[in-house]
Amino acid sequence: MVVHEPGPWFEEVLDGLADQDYGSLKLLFLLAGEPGDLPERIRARVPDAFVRAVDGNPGYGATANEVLSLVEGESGFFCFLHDDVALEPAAVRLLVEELYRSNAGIVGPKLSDWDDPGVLQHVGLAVDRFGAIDSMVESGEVDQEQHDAVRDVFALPSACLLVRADLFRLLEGFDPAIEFYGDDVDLCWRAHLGGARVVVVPAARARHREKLPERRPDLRHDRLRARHRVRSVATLTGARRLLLVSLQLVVLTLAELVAGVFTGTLRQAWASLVALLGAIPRTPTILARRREIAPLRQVPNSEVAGLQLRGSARLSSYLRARDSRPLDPDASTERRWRQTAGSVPSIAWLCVLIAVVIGSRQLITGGVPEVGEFLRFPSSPSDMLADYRSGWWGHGLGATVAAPTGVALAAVGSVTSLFHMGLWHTVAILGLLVVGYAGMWRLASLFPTPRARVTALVVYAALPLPSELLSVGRWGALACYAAMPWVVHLLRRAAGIETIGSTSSDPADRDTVERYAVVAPRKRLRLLAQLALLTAVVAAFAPSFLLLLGATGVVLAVTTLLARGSWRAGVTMAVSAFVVGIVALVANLPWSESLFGRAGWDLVAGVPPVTSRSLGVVRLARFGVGNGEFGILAIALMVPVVSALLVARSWRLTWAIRAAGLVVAFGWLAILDDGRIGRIGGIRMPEPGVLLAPVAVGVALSAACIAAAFQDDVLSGSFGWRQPLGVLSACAIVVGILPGVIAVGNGRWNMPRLTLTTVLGQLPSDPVEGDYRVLWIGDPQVLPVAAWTYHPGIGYALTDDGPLTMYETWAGRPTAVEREVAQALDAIGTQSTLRAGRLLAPFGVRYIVVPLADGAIGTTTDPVPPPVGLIDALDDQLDLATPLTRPLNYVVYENMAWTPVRSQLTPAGAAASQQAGDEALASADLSGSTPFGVGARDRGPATGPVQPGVVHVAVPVDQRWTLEVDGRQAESHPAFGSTIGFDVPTAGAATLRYDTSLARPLFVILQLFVWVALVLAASRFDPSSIRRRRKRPVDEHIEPVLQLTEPILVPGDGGVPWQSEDGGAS
Amino acid sequence: MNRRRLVAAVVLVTGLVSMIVVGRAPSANAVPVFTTLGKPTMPFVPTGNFITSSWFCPGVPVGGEGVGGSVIVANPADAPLSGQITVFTDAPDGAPVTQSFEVDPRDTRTIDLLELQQAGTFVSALVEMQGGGGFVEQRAVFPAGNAVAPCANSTSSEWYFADGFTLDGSTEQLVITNPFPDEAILNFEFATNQGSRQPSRLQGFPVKGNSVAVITQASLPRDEAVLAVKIVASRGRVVVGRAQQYLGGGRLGYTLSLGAPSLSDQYFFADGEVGDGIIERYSIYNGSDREVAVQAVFLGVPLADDFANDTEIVVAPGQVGTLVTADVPGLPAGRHGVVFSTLDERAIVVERAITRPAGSSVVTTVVLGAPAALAGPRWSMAVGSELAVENILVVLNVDGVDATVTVKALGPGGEVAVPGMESIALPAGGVTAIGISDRAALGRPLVVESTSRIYVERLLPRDASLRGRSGSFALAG
Repeated sequence: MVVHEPGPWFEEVLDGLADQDYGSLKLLFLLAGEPGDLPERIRARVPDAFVRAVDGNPGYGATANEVLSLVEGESGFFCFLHDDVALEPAAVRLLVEELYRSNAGIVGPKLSDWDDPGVLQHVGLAVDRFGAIDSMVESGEVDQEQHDAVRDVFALPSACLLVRADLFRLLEGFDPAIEFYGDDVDLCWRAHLGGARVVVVPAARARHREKLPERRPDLRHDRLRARHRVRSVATLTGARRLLLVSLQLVVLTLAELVAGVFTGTLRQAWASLVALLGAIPRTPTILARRREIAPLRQVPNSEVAGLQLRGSARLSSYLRARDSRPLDPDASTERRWRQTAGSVPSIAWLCVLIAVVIGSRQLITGGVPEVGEFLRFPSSPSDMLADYRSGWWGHGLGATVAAPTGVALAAVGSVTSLFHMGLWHTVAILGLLVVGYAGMWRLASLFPTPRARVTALVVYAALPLPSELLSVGRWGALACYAAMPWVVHLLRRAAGIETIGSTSSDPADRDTVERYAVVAPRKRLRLLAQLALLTAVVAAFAPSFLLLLGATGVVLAVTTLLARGSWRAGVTMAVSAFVVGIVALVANLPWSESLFGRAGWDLVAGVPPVTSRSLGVVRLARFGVGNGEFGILAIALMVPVVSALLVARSWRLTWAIRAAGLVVAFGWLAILDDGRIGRIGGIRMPEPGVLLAPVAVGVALSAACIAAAFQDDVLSGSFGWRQPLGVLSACAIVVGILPGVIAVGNGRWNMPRLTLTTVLGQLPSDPVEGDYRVLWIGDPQVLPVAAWTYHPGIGYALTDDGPLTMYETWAGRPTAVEREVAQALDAIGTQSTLRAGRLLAPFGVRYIVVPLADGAIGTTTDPVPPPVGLIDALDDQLDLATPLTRPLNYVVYENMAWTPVRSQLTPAGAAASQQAGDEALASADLSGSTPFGVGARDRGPATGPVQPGVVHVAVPVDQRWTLEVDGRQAESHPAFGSTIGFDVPTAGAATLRYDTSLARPLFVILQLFVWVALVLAASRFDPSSIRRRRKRPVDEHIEPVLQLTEPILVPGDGGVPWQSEDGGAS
Repeated sequence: MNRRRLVAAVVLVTGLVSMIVVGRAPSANAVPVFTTLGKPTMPFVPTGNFITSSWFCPGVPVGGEGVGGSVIVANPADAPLSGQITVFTDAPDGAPVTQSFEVDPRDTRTIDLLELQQAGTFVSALVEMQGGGGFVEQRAVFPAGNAVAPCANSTSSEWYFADGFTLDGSTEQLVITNPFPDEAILNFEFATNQGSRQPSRLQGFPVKGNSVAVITQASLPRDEAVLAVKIVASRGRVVVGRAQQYLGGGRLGYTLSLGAPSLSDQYFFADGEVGDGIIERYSIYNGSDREVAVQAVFLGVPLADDFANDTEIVVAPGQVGTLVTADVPGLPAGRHGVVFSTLDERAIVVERAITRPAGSSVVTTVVLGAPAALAGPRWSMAVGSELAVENILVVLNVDGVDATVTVKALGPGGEVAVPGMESIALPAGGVTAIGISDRAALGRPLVVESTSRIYVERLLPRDASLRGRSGSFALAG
């Protein structure tokens, strides 16, 4: 037994040893640390024990390894014990007997709680391939002999294990590098490598305190646990598996890190990451250890791996722990639900996930096509972050404005795919489906019956909305679909609206409107922070979500009052939504500032339609915003919305009212926006896909209400109109989900194979003749980029050459110079000039593209008609050439008067650049310019040789752009009245760069601070724990207090020839 | 049903039902309008603010003895007008030539195209001016007589000619200008008395960018008294003029005129005349794919019992109908205007060929009718008469009210009324011919203003040494 400063329990431990009925038992106490009166205390209970002090406190394993030198011979057993283990009298005997019987190498007892022996602690340990332990018993699990079979396990706790002496010597004891935590797993793993069995013997029992953190607060337990786990994996995993396991470990650790933010396990996750990174410099040590272990490998690694847990033990144990965690008022219902739900939820989830995989199979294998807002991510996350930090946002003509927060979020999010941007693109789109399902599952936790929860999940998953949104590439709306259930769920919890048990089991609840709990301020803060975090993330990509959030809060508040619920809860939900929206706006500053002011609403609602969207109530009711099929059947899902109001009782009626409220309120908004009424009233809403997300939540909740009511209110009542209505509703639900089921068969959610962006590859990228821009104009429905409003129903946008990326999904507000492009379009439209190509030349516009078919909204067989007169007006322009073969997807014009984005102007061009105004531009011929800095990034730097003259940069006038020629700065001046010209006096090597303002990094740091604060507030992180740790004297117990001394002789000794330090017998 | 349920159900179900009622009939999904340009039409003087204004001159012959031509730019404004002219040629590998020019205030500038481009058989011009306000015409010089034609305001993907004539050695040439950088692809269709035909060699006919292409008589039907041409660009836009030299078959003379850039449903003519030795023939080309009935109503003729004035011509699709005024029963002798109308929108093109005695010979001139939209109180001409002769201008009043007409000349003092022509009476629906004799007005751009909507045709002497006139419409506006 290794003893270190034991507490008052130690006497019970000694009594347990003294009472052992195994006749050949010899006791050796290894005292680590200050012995104090320990020898006397030991002597008082077990007078024949050997007691020996160990120098310092090298850790359990290293101390225990002393037996290798203190004990001679191999024909016995070592039973290693912690000093907080109280054995039952027969424990050692039973262990020895079973070891003989099973021919095992290591055996261990069943460990129970010290204070409550009826509660299990460990019955062996399961270990996964990452070295993580799953204790195999639930926290607080009562011993009902359910684990009393002798069985092989992968490891046994070092608190008590019996090892064959020869095996222990062969293994050279515990790994001396492991001080605490993991020594047992490491030993047992090596035993397995040598072919020895590890067996748990439940008949042998012991009580174990297991409170090392209390006894050793100086240790960094999480770090030690993680470090030793990584060491064991690195040293013991077979060479063939090591690479794969290492990669899996990296992925798992990163996922754990992300999950840790939201589950309160961030500290453990961080420890894992530190351990992983810390293993890198320890590579030589690890390799040396692998060489030491190599002779032990008698069993194929596959066999050893077969003994380990599949998957992640940490994930399994977390899920198990979470399920049984008594967190809030929901918990009792939740636990009861889990106990009674059986396998139905698992099967439902499995079906839904399989449906997602089957429905997305072509997208998973081939990637998501770039249609609508599904533009590819830039190839480098670091470049994305650099773009974000730069202060120069290159969208359109570029400007010194904040880059969208979504750029940084997308870059950071790529960590989940190990920076594989293609995979991240697919995950970021298809993953939204699962996020939405999970949100609905959480929201449906308010229902105590599995039938209702499964109904909510299945209906929400089978609604045509997500597949319709996918088919036309509406990422923002899809994000709203994914986030909306979470919004309702978090608002509910923040308002303290409780889950109530089934009325069948609780008749008192029959007339209850609903129940409310007092939400602790800290918990409410956490919930709202989670909602704010969610909102901030979604709004970074879909600003319209802010509107959705506010409106949802109001609708839930109003319907709560309508249902005669608590006004306090209603107000809480409305105010919470408002406050959360503001916080999300703040988190997205300074980019979110662009949502206000002139054209700001366009970023929320998009380019306004000509008169109305004119989808009609039928299409809206069937969520027909895309290219789905058989969607008409989904209208049947409106039946439960009404019938739930009539059938449901008690709190289910309250939720039926809320659900119908969501459907009616957001349905009305969609209808108003869809028809001319909206135009008359000046109401312009976000796209219908966004508005239909809360409707989808309402429909799914209504279906769940029906399912819950069917059991509690319909079947339990006498026969009447409720029964047939309930049956009708159930049939309607079945019919309504058919379109969603059918959509799975397509394999790509009806997304196009050939999109506009794929054929745009015909336009040259970074051509030698210079970088250029593309002017997009046309119906915003088929524009592959976010557009500024030119006229109702007509959008325009500017993009750089090369492939379109997600950067183009944020239109931003057009700058004054970008509005000059619209003025050039005006000139084309009014035919006030036929030389509009020259007007566009200073902006680097080489191509004008009018999209007709993006593959989703418009196809080559059924293209979207271009705006009336646009093609005619462009055809009239004398500077615009059209290729001999026109693609079917779009009409493209090449501006023959273009000049590169960065170019050295001809003398005539230089003279013209001094002029401003349309007439001067229309008569200026800029042809013959020499390109400069071809292929440079928007934010620079661009380098190249220049000649005396004028270097023109087609970006708005900005003093932060500088041009250095051979180290000397060239003077800049406005060119053509709006862009930048640099006067180059002499030839030389030039560098064009953008100087980021000092304010920008400060803004970024401030923003980072806000996000970290939000993350911490949303997590279970408790700041007081830092304060507590800071106050703790760290060096209280860690000073080594003893040197190795002479054995403390015990009277009556003489049974075993224990070795003294001088090698003689004592 | 408890009260809670009742209230909520009523409110929410009402909301649902009203939503269905309101949204059940979606309004039509309108196509956005970028601009409303309308169909290209015969040239006019545009008004409004322009960054640059462009004129496309159909072309003049070059490369022969006594042939050539010029472009005349008139600047009625009080400020100088600057611009550039680009001259295209049909010579192989002939590059366009560009030159800047400036026109003094209230003045004209004549640019000799031969000085800029001699190569080829025809040259045409693109005139671009900074701002608007000016107007441009061209004068083709030919031994058989000069021909003045307005320059087009815009290019078009369709061009039509109703009156072709290749009898007895008469020749016709189509002069096609492509002022754009890309190649244009054209398809030709001819209509003759034998029906319509689409020669395969003139299908998918390419016209290089920034160049002129000429379809010579060798590619056109010979010995046709009726020859209409329809040119449709499957790609690109062009400007098409037609040069005709009449050598027999009752016609003599030379014309070079701009085609019709679109079909219309109504055409007005001011300069009709019935008289001895005068042959007036209207060719009505039905460019649509359906039969049309065209009503011809003569204007400026006295009411008479024996003249019904309700002539109707039925024209088959792709065919040409003709109306010879001599065959119209009861049509009084003398000048008259005429309007051709059909109920089918954008279906027809009407041209008038009128052959008048000129000394001992005859001279034929062909004019495309003016569409209804151009009727207005003001008409301009960059090219006036160099000679003091009668009947230079023929004015048709298309309104039902009596009007007065003023003829002005553009000179250093601006637009000044020609003495004696300040208030010429013009009866409702009447026609009048006006001569210019004031020396100050000769060779000057002219402007005709009226108190009513009018059409103005111009009959310029073919040449100082030749008898007879060359007719053309003035520019509306």
